[in-house]
Amino acid sequence: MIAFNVPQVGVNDEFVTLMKIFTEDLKEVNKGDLVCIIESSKATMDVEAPESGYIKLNAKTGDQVKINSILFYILKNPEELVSIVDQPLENSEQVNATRKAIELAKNHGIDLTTFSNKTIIREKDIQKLIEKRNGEINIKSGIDDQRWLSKLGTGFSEIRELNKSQKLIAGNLSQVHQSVVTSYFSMIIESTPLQKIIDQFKENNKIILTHTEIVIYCISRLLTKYPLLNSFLLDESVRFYEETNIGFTIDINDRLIVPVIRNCNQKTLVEIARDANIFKMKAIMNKVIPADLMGGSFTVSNLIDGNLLIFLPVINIYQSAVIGISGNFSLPTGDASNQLIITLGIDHRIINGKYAANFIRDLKAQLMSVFVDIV
Amino acid sequence: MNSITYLQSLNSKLHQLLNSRDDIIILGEDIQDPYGGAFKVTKGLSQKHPQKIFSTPISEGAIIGVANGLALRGFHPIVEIMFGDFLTLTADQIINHLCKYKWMYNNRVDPSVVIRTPMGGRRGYGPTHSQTLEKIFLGVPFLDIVAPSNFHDPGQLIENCIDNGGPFLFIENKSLYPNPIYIEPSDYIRNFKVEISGEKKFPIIHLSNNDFEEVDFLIFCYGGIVPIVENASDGLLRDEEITSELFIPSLINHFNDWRISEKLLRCKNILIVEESSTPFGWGAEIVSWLIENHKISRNKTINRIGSLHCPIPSSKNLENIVLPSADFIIQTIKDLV
Repeated sequence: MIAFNVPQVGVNDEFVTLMKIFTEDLKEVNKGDLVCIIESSKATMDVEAPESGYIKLNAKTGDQVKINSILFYILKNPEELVSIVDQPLENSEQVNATRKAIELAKNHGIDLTTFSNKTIIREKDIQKLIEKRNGEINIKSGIDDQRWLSKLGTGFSEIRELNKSQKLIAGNLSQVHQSVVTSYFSMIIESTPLQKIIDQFKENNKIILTHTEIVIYCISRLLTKYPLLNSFLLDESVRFYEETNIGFTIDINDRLIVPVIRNCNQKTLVEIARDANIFKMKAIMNKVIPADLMGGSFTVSNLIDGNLLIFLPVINIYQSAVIGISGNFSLPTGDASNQLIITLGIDHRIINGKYAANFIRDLKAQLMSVFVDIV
Repeated sequence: MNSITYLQSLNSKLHQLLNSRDDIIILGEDIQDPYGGAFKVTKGLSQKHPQKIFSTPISEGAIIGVANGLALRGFHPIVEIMFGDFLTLTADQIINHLCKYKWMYNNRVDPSVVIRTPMGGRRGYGPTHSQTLEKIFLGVPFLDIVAPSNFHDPGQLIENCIDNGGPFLFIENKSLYPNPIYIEPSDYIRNFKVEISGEKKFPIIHLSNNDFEEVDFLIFCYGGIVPIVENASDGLLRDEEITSELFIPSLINHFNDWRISEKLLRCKNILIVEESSTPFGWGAEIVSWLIENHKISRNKTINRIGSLHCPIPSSKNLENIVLPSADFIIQTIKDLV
């Protein structure tokens, strides 16, 4: 991987303006290809790729980029993106926080921009927030556990404390369970057209695609029409998300994680698949950071490998809907082809049945037409 | 936040003083328009007040001598010595005459002369135009030395010097001229909480990046080194969470701050940073003052940072090595912690 730094075009300049970009993220470039045009106070300059590889841009058109800061990376292969993602964010300088605070916040998935400090954010500020947040997580069952346990009349072979992230998940789910009223809607979908896309994709783009990504792609196209599914209820008001950030489940080494693909509605199927693959790779390498798991507005859970007929996924905290994918085998309905079962779970407090039924009907139509869209 | 610069504050105050008072006369080399002084502090004054602005021959001793005479006759002369380095040429007039009149004539005269001069380096002006020589004058009896930082209002301080009476040496660090100054009352400036103490005419600014709670370092500094110390202090907080409190006087030859005992109790270490070299300098005097007047526990470290004890080089790179930089201060503090 090579990082390309902004050259000093004019002696007195501190910044250049990124005028035009001729490529896009993770697109292959050859050495000498025109990547972008930058403009100093005196002249414009063409920037060519110093090596062949895959581009990862670090700025967008119109940005004022500081001299000597990184303009773009050239990756030997797209998988190297993982190592960039792991680097501290370039714009972390813009947040007024100490190095220790930035590190701690990153490790706990805390967004520093939400702080309203008069001066610099310090480690102790983050610690306070973490303590406060831990205090809010309530995994307790609501009954007197100690009394109940004393009457249980049996011992335990092991008492295993949950780790930090498990505690967080357990706390969140308890909270959801206590408030959300869930209702479920299922539908059968023929799997063959989707399988064709998956195979075609492998051949054309050399990218591994699963049903999950296709479903994410289709949902993201529908959520503008069904904004209630991209919202949540809090304190008597529904909050609609600006972005369509869809989380999907990865079950690896007995650990369930739900990384979030951001702005899915603005991404192509290739980009969604690429993002998903990066997360899967990070999960295998145990490199998923809390920030990867934050900010989801909808969740897709895929259990088609389990040979399950149906399952009822739980809605995530601060969300109003979830999709579960199961099946993918021939059902005893007379049709020999494989069938998928798509199950939609909704927060019935804000979404009524008709709305959900319309959504899942549209989703089916979208899934059937996606083949035409792409191939 | 106020956006006027150090230079604008001085220039506009001089305009204001000349408009409102008839007893003020300004003397100096090349201070008339169109040149308006080497650093443009007196720009525009001679056009409006030709009778009050005098460009003098190149003879610093004579300039102070004339100013002394004017002061004895009831005027309030403001003198500009083009570079602080040339103060050595004025030493006889200042030390043997100006500062002794009041005492010699039994308080019947008040020689109120303000001698303004730009000091300091970082402009590549070389060994004879970059020094910080006020330490030579710091021990002169009856001479007060004011050196505003970018947290003071230099224009207001000039007026306060005139109102106060008596001779003043007014040190303007030339690196500060283009800096914005912070004169609007504000609780916080960037990452620092601000407090003001001392005499009203010559305030002491206190900046703490730990809300005036216990800090790792109590740092004494004044004038042109202040923005550098501020940067270093901010860098230390950002990178290492090392906290500091800055003590920035404007009148640098004597100050009495009753809060200092309290400050000394809640700091772990003491550091004095000055732009001149440390031997026999301002920092040494601060240390004596602290030790003689205040109880300092033995577990506190006291250190000084200043320029190297040698002439200031013309070469920018060498000058950067000789003068104390933010990086050097950061490194020194890291080594001390």
